[in-house]
Amino acid sequence: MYEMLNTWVPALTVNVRCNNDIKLLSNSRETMNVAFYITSYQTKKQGRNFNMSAVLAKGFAYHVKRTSYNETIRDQQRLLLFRLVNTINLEQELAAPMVVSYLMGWGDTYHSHRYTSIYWSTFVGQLLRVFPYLEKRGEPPTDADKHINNRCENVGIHLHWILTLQCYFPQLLIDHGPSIRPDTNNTTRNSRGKTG
Amino acid sequence: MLNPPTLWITINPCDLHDPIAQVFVGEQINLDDFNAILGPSKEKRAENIAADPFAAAKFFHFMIQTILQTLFGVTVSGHRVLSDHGIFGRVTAYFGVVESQARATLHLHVILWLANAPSMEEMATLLKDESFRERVRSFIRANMRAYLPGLETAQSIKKIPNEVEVAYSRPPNPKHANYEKQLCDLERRVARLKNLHTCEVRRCLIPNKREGLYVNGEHHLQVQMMISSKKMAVGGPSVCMKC
Repeated sequence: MYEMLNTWVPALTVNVRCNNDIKLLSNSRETMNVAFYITSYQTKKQGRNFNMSAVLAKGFAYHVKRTSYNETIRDQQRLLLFRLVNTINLEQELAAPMVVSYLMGWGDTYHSHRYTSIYWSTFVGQLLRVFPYLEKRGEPPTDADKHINNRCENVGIHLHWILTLQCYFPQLLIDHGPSIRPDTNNTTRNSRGKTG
Repeated sequence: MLNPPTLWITINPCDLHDPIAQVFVGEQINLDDFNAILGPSKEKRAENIAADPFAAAKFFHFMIQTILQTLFGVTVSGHRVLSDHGIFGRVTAYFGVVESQARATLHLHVILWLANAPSMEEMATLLKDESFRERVRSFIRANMRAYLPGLETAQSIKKIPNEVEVAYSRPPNPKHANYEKQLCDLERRVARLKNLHTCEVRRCLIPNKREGLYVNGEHHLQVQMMISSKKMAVGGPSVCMKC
């Protein structure tokens, strides 16, 4: 087998006569690792940025040469930012068929299902209410905690997948609430401590 | 509950050579009785597509919709997803992202969820079961190919002529007497042209002062995936049964 040939789908190759590639996602937990690999591919930012700095430099050089009102440093700084943004808007390269796709409303994704936002913070809040054990990191678990722990592990599997989903479709499952940073956790714990 | 996705596919319709793209541009081509000699020429086709991004985009979306419906057997109507039997069995869901490459041609990366796919835990157990492994093998044999006779080494590949315009054609007619042979032959010619990676300096191998040549972004990823998928293939190389 020659390693420089990528795997193809015979039905696609014959009927569409084009370059195509296929990968079977079969081996369970390793699929998770592949998932992150794919995610970076699948959600990759559109557009090419390799010429961005050149575009910026050219646009800015043009302005500096042509204008006469760059008296104060402050003005210059403000104008610099303004002009960089304007240059990006004006001169960033986009593929014409891609522009047509947006103009015609054909979009840049194909999806069989409709997606809705999941408010992640409320979800985490509910989990912490049902399984307070999740908050007690580093403390030795009590017998009651061990019982809950078993239940949490079952939930953990599902949590795992929800996290994967979020990686697959970060633009669809947007976190609208405060993130689960340690400081937000601390405030939650403190307020709960008072009521408890 | 759909369980984990089963397939990850990239489709890169060829807008430069596919006669369907030229029909969208407005060329008069008889697709039922196709004759490549009647033109338009390769240069004219490239000009047509470059001058008409609307036709290029229309062609891409038409091809993807058609592939999803006819080959994968999945149709979305309103909120309903209708899954018919396609080349992979029944596809219950898909999610794909459209991207453009450097020459502005659009391509699609799509994840497919197949009906009755096992869950992560079930899969771990099932893969130890020989009868299930055999099913996976036959699935791979039917749908994934990385080898055909003649495509063994760089040397043997060089002996197959590189037909740049192979896509300016139609699929073989099933009513034709030696249809199977034509099918196999076309598959080899297309694979030789479209699925072979050649790393060229500057295009994908970018010179770097410190480390010499390095492989550029997406290409690097494709090569890596290629090599890793070879390692993952359960039943070794899948060979065209008809050849």
